[in-house]
Amino acid sequence: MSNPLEPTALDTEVALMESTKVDLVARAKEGDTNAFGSLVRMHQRQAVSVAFRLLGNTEDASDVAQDAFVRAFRSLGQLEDPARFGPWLLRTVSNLALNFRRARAHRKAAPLEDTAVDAAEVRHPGTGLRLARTETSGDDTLPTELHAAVSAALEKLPEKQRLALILFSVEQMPQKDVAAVLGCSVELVKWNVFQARRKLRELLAEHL
Amino acid sequence: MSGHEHNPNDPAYLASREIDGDLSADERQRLQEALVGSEALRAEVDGLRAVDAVVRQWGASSIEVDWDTSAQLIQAMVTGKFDGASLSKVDDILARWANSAVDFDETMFASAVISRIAPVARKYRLPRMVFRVGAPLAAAAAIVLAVTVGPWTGLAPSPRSVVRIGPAEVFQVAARAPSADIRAQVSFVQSDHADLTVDAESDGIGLLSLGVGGNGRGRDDSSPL
Repeated sequence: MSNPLEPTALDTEVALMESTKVDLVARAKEGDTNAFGSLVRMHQRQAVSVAFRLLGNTEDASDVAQDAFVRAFRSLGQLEDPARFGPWLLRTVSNLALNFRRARAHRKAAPLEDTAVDAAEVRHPGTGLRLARTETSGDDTLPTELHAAVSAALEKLPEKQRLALILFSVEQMPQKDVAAVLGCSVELVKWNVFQARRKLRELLAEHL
Repeated sequence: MSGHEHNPNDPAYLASREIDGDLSADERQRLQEALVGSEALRAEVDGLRAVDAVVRQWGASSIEVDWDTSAQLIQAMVTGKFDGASLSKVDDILARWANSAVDFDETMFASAVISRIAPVARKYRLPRMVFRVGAPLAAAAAIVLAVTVGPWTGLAPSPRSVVRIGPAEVFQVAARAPSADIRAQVSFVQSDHADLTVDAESDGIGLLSLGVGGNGRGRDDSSPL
C-alpha cells in the first residue's frame, strides 16, 4: 500500500512544472522572449477564458488577453514571486477586462447574452487564420433562454462578486489564487462567492 | 446587521461553503443543527445549490482557439517582429476601406480596424488611446463642431464624415457639411510622438481646434502603418 504522504507521480510532475515556470519567469525577466513565449503558451487558455467569461465574446477576450500579456512582459520586474505569475497575470487580465466592460458600457449596452450563446469566430486580421471560436459543449450547457438569463443576472452583480464567482466556480481556480487576483483575503473570496450565489438565487428565481 | 456584511456564522454562508466542501467538522455540525430547525434555511440551501449548478453549466461553453497562432501573435507583439506576409491582407483591407465614404459609426469602426491591424503600433506607442479612444473622440468632436458651427453659418447641419488613409503614415478623418465652407479634420501621425488634432474652419467663425498628444514608449519600424 502506498504511503499517502509520499509524493505521487502527479505531485512530482506538478513540482517540475512549477520549477520550470519559475525558471521561465526568471529568464523572461532578463528579456528572453522565447521563455516568455513558453509562459504565454502555458497561460493563454486561462487568460482568454477568464476574459471571455467577463466580456462575453471571443474577439474582445482575445484582445484583452493579448494586451495583458504584453503588459505583463513589460512589468515582469515588478513580479516579486515568480511562482505567482499565473494569478498575477490573471489580475491584469481581470482589471483590463473590467475596464473594457466599463468603457463598453459607456459606448453602448452590450450585455453578455448578446454573444455568449452564439458561436463566434475571431480571425487574425493579417493572416485571416482563425484564432478563436466559441462553442458549447453539448449536454452540459444550458438552454438558450436560461443561458441568457444567467448572463444578464451575472451582469447585475457587483464586480468583485462576479469575478470571485467566475474565477472560483467557472474557472475552478483555487481560492488563494482568486484572492490574489482580487487582492483580498481567502475568507473574503468565500464571502463574495456566497453573496454572488445568494443574489443570483433571487435574480434567477423563476428559472430555478 | 445587513445581509451584505461579512458574517462567518451566517448559516447560509456555511451552506455555501458546504457546497464547495470547505467546512470543518465543527462547522458542518453547526450547519446541520441550523438546517433541522429552519425550513427557510433548507430552501435557501437548495437555491444556492441550484445556482451553483446553473453557473457551472453557464460556464461550460468552451473557446476553441488556434493557440499556436495566438501565442505567436503575442510573442510578436513583445518582440516587435511581425511576419511581413501577413500585412498584404492588411493592405487589401485598407484599400477597400479608404475607397468608401463612411458615416460616423463606420468611422468608429474604422478606427477599431486600425487598432486591430496595427497591433505593434498599438502596443508600443499610444495605442489604445489614439486608436480606440482618441480617433473616435476626435471624429465625434469633428462632427459636433460641424453640426454646431453649421447652423451659425447657414450650412446644412448634416455633416458627412469621410475616412481616408494617407500614404505617409497619416490617418485622416474628415467631417464636412455638404455645402461646405465648413470642414473639420482629424489627423494623427504615427511616429515616436503621436498627435491627434481636430480642426474646424468656417467662414466668419475662425479656427477651432482640439488636440490630444502623447509619447510612445518605443520606436517601431516594422509596421507600414
